[in-house]
Amino acid sequence: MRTGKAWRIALVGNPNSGKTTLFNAITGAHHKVGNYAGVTVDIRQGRTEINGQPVVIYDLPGIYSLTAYSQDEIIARDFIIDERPDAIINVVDATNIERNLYLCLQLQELGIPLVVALNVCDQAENMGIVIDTGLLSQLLKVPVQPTAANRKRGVKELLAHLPAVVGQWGQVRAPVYYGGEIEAEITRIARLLSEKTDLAGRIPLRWLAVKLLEKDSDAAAKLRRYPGAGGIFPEVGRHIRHIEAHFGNYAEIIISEQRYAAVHGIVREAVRQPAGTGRPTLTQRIDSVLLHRFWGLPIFLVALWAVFQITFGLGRYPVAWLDRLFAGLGNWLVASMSPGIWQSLLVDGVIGGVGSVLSFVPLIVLLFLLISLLEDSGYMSRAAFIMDRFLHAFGLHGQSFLPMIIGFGCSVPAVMATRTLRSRKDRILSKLSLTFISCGAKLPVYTLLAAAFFPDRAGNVVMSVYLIGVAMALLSSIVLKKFVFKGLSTPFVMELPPYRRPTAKGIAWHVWDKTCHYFRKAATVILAASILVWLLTTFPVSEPTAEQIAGLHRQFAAEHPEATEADWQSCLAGYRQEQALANSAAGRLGQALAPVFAPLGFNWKIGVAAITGVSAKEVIVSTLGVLYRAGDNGDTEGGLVAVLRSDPEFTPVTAYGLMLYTLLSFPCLATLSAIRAEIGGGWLLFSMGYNLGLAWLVCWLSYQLGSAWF
Amino acid sequence: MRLADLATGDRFRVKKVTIGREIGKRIVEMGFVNGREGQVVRRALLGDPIAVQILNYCVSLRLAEARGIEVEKIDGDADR
Repeated sequence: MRTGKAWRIALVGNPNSGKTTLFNAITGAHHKVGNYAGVTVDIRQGRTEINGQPVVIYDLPGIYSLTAYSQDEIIARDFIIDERPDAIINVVDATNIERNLYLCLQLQELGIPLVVALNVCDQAENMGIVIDTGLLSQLLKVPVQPTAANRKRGVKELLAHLPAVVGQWGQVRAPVYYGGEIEAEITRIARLLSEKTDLAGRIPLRWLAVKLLEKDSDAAAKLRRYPGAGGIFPEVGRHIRHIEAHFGNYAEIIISEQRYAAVHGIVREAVRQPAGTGRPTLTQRIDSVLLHRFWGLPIFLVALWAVFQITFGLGRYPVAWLDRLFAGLGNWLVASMSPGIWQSLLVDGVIGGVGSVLSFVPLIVLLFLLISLLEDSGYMSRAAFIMDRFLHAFGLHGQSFLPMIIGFGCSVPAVMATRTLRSRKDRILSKLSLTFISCGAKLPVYTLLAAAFFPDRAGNVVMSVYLIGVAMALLSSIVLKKFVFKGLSTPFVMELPPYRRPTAKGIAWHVWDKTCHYFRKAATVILAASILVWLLTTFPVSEPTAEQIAGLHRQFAAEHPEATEADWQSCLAGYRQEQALANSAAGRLGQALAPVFAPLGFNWKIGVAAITGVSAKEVIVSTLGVLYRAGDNGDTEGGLVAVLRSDPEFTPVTAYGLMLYTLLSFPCLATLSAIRAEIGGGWLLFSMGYNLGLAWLVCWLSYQLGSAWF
Repeated sequence: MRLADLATGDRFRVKKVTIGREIGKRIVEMGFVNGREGQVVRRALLGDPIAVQILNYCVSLRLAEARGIEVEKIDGDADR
């Protein structure tokens, strides 16, 4: 037993076993989130004390088994093996003890010191399940403590068991007996492992041998890194074939069945389960409504509609307040600072960029409040059950539906909502797809262009863009599935957990966690990116020459004989803005890229707008406003509509192309940084290239077809 | 007979999981073990996926996965 240093204790258990509730009951309010090994699944960390001994508790992701089946399982397994916590608290759901003990036996095989928390034992009692805790503890050969985490019952007693087991690694107290044939193979492989590698001190070799026989891809990949390990694989292959020939089924299945047989033996002795009472449980009764074969879908759609309405309907007001607050802050800076570069940096760069991103915070809070309610109550997996068949046709998982719908409002929370998906590949796939969904910020671009070029059919034209977005999202997931995520089919073996009343603390934690993430991003990536975009659109600074101004004045005076001095000044101001943007790095980039945009029918002004639109899609409108000098007020839409229409290069076909480009090209900075945070820079680049390539292709097609047609 | 062939409400006893790899293993791990009894409780709108009560909890599977589970149908609505 170590003293002085804090003990590191990991909480491990099935999803929905009440693990997080137990974590909250143990640690109170003292926790934070840590990221491990570059993966974005969070491991929460909390502190407590046992008789003055400081203890750090780690809340590992909920898992059913220690296979390499899901990202969560690999994370939990790697944490246990690499971080070697001093002990594990295995949370076992007493109402479903058999499936939960399956994981318990696997943990034991790892030789890790372990205490079992027999959780939700109050509910088990109500269901008439009688568990002989003493006998269970004897059979498992580890301490077993009944707990009811939601009422904080048994928590102190649970912690009191820890000092006796802490640090006792390496003792497999209750090994699973796999039967003579398999045991002989396990022994042989373990001997090979001890001869050919130096893993003996770090991992129980028997465990590794079992994993190899189970064809565990992750264990095999890690073993392959050992120079001497090469010769082991053919041996393992031979043993697997031997087992499979002997039992007439796959080795991985036989081993899992043997483990279950061991669990069954223990449960038969220590647990008395009542025969069915004939009365459906509350969960079954709720499901007969919410999962009704015909009503289930409409109910789900109404729930979805409510989430959307509450988030974007109710969230509109605080977003407007924040917008006004940042605008006020900008005005105050304009009034109190001397005009110049620094003022422009703070007002246009920092406040314009970060402010517009921070004003989304109310949406994030509301949305995650609602999602957490759906998730913690148990409805989210029902939603996946209802939608799976439809989405599976496009290679998406049932749970991808909600993020896509949220994407119509704003892509940032949508990207974050894909976290509910279990598999990383599914998460990446749905993120890549949902960038094609038309978010709220793209709408101003559509309305401007539709009003200018399709005044009689504006509604239909905008609608068609939305539909193309949905079609592209679905088609692209089929394509990505076929060529990028080849052979991937995430099975849909998913628990429909009992409905539970969400706790205020759990919900508050989810919302707080997501909001903090978002804040951190706004303060770092988005700040930096906003400043970069500002730099590109501001530098190099240029002033029109006296000659240019004189020329413009002559032209202006000829065109507007009755114009006043004020009219001339506003014309001049617009000209200055236009020249400044045209000569800035972004402007020059737009002009340099003109050959790239030309096949799409975009002149250099549209090209610049397409580039500045990266900071936020609405910026496309204001950039066009500046470049087309839509009167003294660069973004007066009425003025802009008229000017755009008078440009002979800007035809309805071009306008539709720009709408498509806005729709399909990669999303705004805020979304890009959310994607990067979730799936990393490599996938971000892939996603950007993919979006850009597809956008160009579709716009080109649309322009060529459109020009030929009209 | 396969789990996918059963009608809603049918009770069954698992004989054997006939698909291998991670999927088959996961199915076993979720409780589809030789001799265990369960019941098909509901199906989604288009008949796929299905929800199955087994080991005192409820799990959903796609028909493609349910085709990999060999079962025998048993009578008795003992607990209905």
